[in-house]
Amino acid sequence: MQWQRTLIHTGFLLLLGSGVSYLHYLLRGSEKVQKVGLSLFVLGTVSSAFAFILRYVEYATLYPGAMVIGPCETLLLLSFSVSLFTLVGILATKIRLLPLVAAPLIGILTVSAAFTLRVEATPRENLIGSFPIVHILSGILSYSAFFLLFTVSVIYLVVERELKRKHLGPILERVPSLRDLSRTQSLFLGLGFLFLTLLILLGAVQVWKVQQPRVFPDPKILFALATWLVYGILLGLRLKTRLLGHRMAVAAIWASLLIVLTFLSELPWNGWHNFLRRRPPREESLSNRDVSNPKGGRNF
Amino acid sequence: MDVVITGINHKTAPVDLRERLAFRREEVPDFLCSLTALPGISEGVVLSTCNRTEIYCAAENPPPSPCQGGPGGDFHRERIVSLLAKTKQVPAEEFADRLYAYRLPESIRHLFRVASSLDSMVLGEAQVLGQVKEAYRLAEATGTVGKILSGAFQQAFSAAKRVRSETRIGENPVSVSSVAIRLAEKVLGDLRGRTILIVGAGKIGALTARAIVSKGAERILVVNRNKSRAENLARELSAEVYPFDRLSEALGETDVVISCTEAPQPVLRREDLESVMKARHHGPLFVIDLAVPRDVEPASAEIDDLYLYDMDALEQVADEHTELRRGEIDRCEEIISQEVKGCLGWMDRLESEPLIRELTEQWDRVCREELEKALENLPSLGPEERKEVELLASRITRRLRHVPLQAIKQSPGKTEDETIKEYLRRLLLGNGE
Repeated sequence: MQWQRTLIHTGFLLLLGSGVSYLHYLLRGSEKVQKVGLSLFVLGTVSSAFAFILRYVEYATLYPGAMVIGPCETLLLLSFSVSLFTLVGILATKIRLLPLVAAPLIGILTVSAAFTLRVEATPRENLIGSFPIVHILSGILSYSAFFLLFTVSVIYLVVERELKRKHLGPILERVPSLRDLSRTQSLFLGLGFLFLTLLILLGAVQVWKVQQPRVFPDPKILFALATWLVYGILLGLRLKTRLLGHRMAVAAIWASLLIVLTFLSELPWNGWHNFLRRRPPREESLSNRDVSNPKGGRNF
Repeated sequence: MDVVITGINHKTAPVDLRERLAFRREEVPDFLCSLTALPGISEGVVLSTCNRTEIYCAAENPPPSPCQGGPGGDFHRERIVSLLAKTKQVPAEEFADRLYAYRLPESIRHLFRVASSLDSMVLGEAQVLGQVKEAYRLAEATGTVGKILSGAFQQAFSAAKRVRSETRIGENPVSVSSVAIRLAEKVLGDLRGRTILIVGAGKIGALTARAIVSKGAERILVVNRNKSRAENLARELSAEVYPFDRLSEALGETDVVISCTEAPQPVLRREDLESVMKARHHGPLFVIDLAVPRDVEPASAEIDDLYLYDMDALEQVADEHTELRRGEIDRCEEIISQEVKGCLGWMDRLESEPLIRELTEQWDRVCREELEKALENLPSLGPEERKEVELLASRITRRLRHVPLQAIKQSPGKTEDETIKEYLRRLLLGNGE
């Protein structure tokens, strides 16, 4: 626990440093500071990733084969996947300012993970095997990509507004061109849709395996399907070059509302599908549990 | 040794005089040879651009007589003026009072400011550094650059590099065409492979189109009511001509529109552009309206994904950029001061070198002679012991000369310190006999 906390705090501080460096770069334009910012960003990402690995190894030792994922792990995974996509975005589109917008969010996710370190995840006996973790991971990757799509779309609208106002100040000098932002939108839209499709397919396989009858009233599934449909339409229009520029940015921002609704819809069930909800008796909580028999629950 | 600069620039002389004193590349080597043939001048570089003609010399310090006129006063000025007048066939009295002359340390500061573009007409322009480098290379090829000017110019290049990398002096474009290009790049990214449409056959449109083509734009379309004028311009720019009634079609194929007709009414109306944008599925369109009265209805700027800039807007951005560059001057001057200090220190060390070498050689010679005598008197010493004695002698010499050599190296070394150095020379070496 101590190591995990140290790594999370280190990651947070590194990301904070990265954000400050990028802000300095944006205002003053020093290339050296930008490189320092990028290095801090990478180190912060690695630090958070190690914290997650330590956490997961601990659970894997306690509950071999069981699916154990709680708020801390989810937050760490989210922060890691946003970092990962940010780095992919930098490599693919050369938009060097992406960490400036990503670092604060990742920092918040990381520090929230630190606060939830003591919240111990309970194993889900009905989620055994590698399918559920890949399913969850796909979801996290997909929503991270959509978050970055949202961010890039906001930047697009800001840059567009400044260009329309005929301002080309020193800050605008360092932000990417509208074309580069547009290409980045396509990248994150494609990645997000890919992982969302994977999420839905894996979920469908899992549901079919467990022959769960109460799937369709589940709001999480309904919102996921709606999100898939909307982003699929956006991607289709984009690929046919029928949705470009300002309209694409606005559509992407509105579509991100669906992601927010998906998250809100799962709040009553602590992030799980309603048909998977399980209220473990108090004596079964992790601290009191007989770890020698971790799979003592009901299996589907 | 001194570094002397004599010249005229856009601040001191009108363009007609600058033209008459400007050097063509092929004229420079002969002039440099004549310059370095003058007594007391050992090195020379000529920098000749559209805004300045400057002659850089490494010259011996003048005798202690009153300096002759001009800013900074310069013993060599009159001889350089005569040579310049003779070479360029311009009477000296026509430009003598417009010349400036600098000696150390102002000359080094001036060189660094010129290379860093702080003395340019367009503050922060990038071309002048290339011109200074070219002037230096030409002088080097002619063989008129020695240790002093070589060191000074190399340090000027590194100062200019520092100024450009550590400040924002060169960041924001300040000419209307470069502003237009930068804005187009902000919208469209890389301009390579893009299509430009010129509406009208004005010269200004052609000039702006050329500037965009220099950034890699591939296809140029020309639309004009007068077909023959359109064809003339198209020939000049290797462009395609579209008839005026196919303007909408041309707009659908283009990324950048440059409009410069003489029409009294707008040529591109909002409704037309709206339908064009719809047909393009709102692919971004960058429109530069250089016409007065304007060719594009101003309300068109409200259309999504259409970026409209007229002459006033471009000039406004250029003015803002000039102000931003001016805001960087203090920081640039600070860097220049640091670099000038470093360069002057290097020159001082360069001045001390002959004395240091002389002292070192004499003391080493004395050491060697005394060592040989001593070893002759001690024939019984074995090889190990002989080596030890040699090392001892060498160590003593090094330690004894350390303090005076350090004092010489650390002395500021210019003008008044020459007396100190001469005193040290006499003290340590005798009268030179």
